[in-house]
Amino acid sequence: MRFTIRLMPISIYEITKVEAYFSHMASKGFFVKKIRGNLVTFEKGSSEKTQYRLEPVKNEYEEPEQEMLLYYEEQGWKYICKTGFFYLYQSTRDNATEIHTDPFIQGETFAHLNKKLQFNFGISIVGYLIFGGFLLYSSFHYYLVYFNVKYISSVSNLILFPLYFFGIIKTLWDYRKMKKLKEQLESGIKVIHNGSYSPSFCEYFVLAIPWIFILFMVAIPRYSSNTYWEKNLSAYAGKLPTISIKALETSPDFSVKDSSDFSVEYDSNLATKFAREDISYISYHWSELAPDVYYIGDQGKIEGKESTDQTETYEPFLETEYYRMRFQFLAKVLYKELLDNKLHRNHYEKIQYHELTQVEFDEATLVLADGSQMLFARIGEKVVFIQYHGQKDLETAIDQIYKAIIDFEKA
Amino acid sequence: MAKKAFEGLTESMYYILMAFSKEEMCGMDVTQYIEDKTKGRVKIGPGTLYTILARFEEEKIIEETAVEGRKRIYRITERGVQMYEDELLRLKTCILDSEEGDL
Repeated sequence: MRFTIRLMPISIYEITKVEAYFSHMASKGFFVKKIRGNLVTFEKGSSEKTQYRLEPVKNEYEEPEQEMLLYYEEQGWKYICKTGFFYLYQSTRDNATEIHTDPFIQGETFAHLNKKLQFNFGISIVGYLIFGGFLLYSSFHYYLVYFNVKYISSVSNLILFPLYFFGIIKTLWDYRKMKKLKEQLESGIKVIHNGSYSPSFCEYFVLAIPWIFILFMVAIPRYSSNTYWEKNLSAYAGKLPTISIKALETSPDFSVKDSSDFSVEYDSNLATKFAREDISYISYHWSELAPDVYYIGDQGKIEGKESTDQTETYEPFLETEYYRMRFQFLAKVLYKELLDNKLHRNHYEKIQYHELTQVEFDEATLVLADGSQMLFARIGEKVVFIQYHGQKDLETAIDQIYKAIIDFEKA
Repeated sequence: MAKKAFEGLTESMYYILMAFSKEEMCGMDVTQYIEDKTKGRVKIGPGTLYTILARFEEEKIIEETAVEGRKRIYRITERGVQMYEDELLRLKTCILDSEEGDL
């Protein structure tokens, strides 16, 4: 016996079309054996004129009763399988009596199905309001673009929203279709079982939409994590989209902190793990909204020189976040969100804004927040955030920063 | 407007009650009886037959008397007889009304 699995190109609720599709397949020698969701298993045999009928179940958890099967078999109808809310019967007898000869009684068989579909629709609406509301709230309440480029997953999660909406519309569509059919039967109008079916790729495409969404949801975070890398800054030979801390700290006693400054014995894995907090590092990741994101930490020290908190070692550091966004409008949004997020999240006591207009950036703001200097800047679709903890003036290095970004772009 | 169950019998329901009013029988015998009685004019499909029998049993219009293999034998109840006679009277009245002509 040879079996073939095919994707059913029609919704099960298009009852007469599904029956016509199965008959069409039987005429080519493929006979339905079982149905799981939209996947149909056909058994290959000799082609034969075959009729199929889908009947609503009385109880979706039970197989049809033996007495019922007896009546069907005596009149030429063989039970094939159960799929969701339907039983499927097959007949190869030309003189088989139609399963339903009384439309009013047939209408009654749709009562359970209609109640179930109505219930499903109600549940999906409630679920949509709760889940969709939470999703929208969490996406738009916080910094939408900034969180997406920093934590990657949010845009993928947003794909769930249209996917869920698609599910609700389909549930409503199916419910209305079955309700209309029941009303038609109860009015005495019979179902015409000569529904035509012609293969159409358009129907396959519609069925594929949820799967395309799901594929994106799985593939995007995976691709992003595969492209991620992180290195010690001393081991990185490429150009940087920022200045080195040495451009600010010009004292001859200044030295850059690296792995040798660890208090524990150096371990490359440990260094990577703690790089962000203890030594100079560079990391890269990709996201769907920002194809290039770099985080750079540059830290140094001058032994014997007091820092602002009167400790004996002065340890300035420069942190950079660089984003090349997919579109310029996203960069404009990110620029504003960065300004808001970086300054409000940390609850600084005193913040001084200085909008820079005499510079080559499209937008730039220098901020002094407590003891920290920050530069927020944008050139086209590129956004940079630099935070400097040290005793020099970051404003003196603005032109160098601009040049570093332009040079980085060319490289 | 859709007809409510048992407010009036459909043709299939009426003939099934007629069959049971003659004697106890199983579903297949009912189908055969109706086909013979109407000379093939009225056919009862298996889905229609099963649905009506299930509803009649639920509403105590018929009741099961025996099980033979997969076959179940039913007989009509007093409520079923009354329902059948009421429908018969209604149909006869309809025919008389029609035969009497306009006043």
